Amino acid sequence: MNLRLHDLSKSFDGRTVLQRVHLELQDVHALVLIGPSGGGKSTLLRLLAGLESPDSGTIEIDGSGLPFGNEAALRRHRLQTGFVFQAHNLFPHLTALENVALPLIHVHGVPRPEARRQALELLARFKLDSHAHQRPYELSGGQRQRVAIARSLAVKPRLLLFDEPTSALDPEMTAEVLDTIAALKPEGRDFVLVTHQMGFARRVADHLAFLGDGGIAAHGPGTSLLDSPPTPGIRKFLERVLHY
Amino acid sequence: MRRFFLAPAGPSSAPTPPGILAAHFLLVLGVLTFGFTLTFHQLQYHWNWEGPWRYRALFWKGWLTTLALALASLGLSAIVGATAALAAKSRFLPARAASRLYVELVRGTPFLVQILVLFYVVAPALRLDNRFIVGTLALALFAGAYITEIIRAGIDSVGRSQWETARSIGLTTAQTYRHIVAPQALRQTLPPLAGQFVSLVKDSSLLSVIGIGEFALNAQQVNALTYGTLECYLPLALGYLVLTLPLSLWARHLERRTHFDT
Repeated sequence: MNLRLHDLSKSFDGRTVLQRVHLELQDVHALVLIGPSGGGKSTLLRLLAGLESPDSGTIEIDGSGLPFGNEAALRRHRLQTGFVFQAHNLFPHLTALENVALPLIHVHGVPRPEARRQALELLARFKLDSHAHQRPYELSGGQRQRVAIARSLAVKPRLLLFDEPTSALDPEMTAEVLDTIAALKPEGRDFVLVTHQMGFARRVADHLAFLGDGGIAAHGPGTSLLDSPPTPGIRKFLERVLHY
Repeated sequence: MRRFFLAPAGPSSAPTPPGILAAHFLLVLGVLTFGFTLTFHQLQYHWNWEGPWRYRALFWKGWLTTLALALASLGLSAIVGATAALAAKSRFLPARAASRLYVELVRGTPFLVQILVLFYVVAPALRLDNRFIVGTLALALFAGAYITEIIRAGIDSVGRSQWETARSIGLTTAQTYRHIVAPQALRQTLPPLAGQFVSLVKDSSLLSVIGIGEFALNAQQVNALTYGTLECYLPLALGYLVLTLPLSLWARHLERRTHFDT
C-alpha cells in the first residue's frame, strides 16, 4: 500500500488531536502506530476508515483520495475496509456465525447459504467453528475479539484497521488475538495497527510511526524507531511502556 | 421448606420446579377468592343473574365491538408510534418538531377531550361520519403517543458503538435499523409495550361518549335496564381480562424468545 497524508488536521470540541500531519509511505504492508493515549492514534485510524472526516487535509491510499464529504462514496470505501475495535463490538443478538455473515449478506449481496458457508470456513480457520452458534456473551474475551477479526476479514477488505484490539484482554487472550493477527501478515493483506504491545509491534511492523502532541513525531522502517529512539520524548515513552 | 418458599439465590442454582410455581399461584388465587367471598357475604347482596342473562346478546355484541376496536387501533397505534419515533430520531428537523409536539399534546391532554374534538370538530371537517373509524383513530393516536416514547427509549438503549460498528461494515441507516437496532430495541420495549396495549384495550371504554356500542356502554345499558349493577359490571371486568391476559402472556412469550445477555 502507498499511503499519503497531506496537511491532515482534526480537532474535537476545540481540542486539536491532529495538526497538519504529513506522511508519505511507499509499499508498506503493516503500519504500526504507537504513542501515548490521546496522541491521535485512534483518530488517525478512524480517519483512514472513513468513520470521521478531517477538518482539513487529504488522505490518499494507493493514489486515490478518500472522498470525505461524500457519504455514499465514503461508504464504498468502508466496504473495502475492515475495522476491529478496542472492544469487540459484536452484535449481541446474533450468533458468532451470524455476526460474520451479516455484512456478506446485507452489504455485499452474497446469497445466505453461501455467506454462511464462507463465515463458517473463516471461523474454522480461527478454530472457532465449535462456537459458531453461540452468542457473544457465551464467548471469552479473546474468542469475541477473534470473531470480530473474522467479521472484518469476511468481506475480503483491501485494508484492515486494528484499534488496540487487545487493550481489554488479559495476557493469555492477548497472545491468542495477536497470534491471529500475526498469521494474517504472510497473506499480504495491508493493515494498520494501533497497539501498546511493543513486542508485537516489533514482530509485525514494516513501518512504525510514533504519534504524540498532534502529529507524527517520528517514523521509520521496521523497528528502527524502537531500537534507536530519535527524540528524548520517544525514548522516555518507550522506557515507560517497556518498564513493566 | 425453604426451597418451597424461596426462589434460588443465584443464577447458578437449580430453578424452582414449575409445579411449585403453579402451587403458589393457586394459593394466592385461593386466598383472594376466599377474601372476596367473605366480603360479598358481608354485603348480603341478593344476586339476580336473570336480568343480565336475558340481555346476554348485548354483552356479546359489545365485547366483539371492543375486540374489533382494540385490534384495529392496536395495529394502527404501533404504526403511528414507530413512525413518530423514527421522526423523533430523524435528521430532518421539522419531523423532530412534529413528533415532539404530537407526543406532548396527546400525553398532556385528557383522552376524553381528544375523542370529543376528533368526533365533533375534526371528523365533520373531513366528512368522516363513521363512529367506529373515528373511535379507532382516536384510540390509535392516543396510545401512539405513549408508544412513540417507548420505542424512542428502546432505540436509545442501543449503544453508540453498535451504530458505529454497523457504519464501519457498510450498513446503511435503514439496514442498521432493520438488522441491528430493531431486534435489540424490541427486547427492551416489549414489557412497556405490552402494558401500553393492555391500557389501550381498557381505554377503548371511553369511546362510549361518542355512542359507540362497545362493551362498557352496553354493560351500562343492561345495568340501566335491570338495576343489577354488580351483575353487569363483574362480567364486564371478566370480559376485559379475557382480552388483556392473552396480550400479557404473548408479550412474555416474545420476551423469552428474544432473550440474550449483553
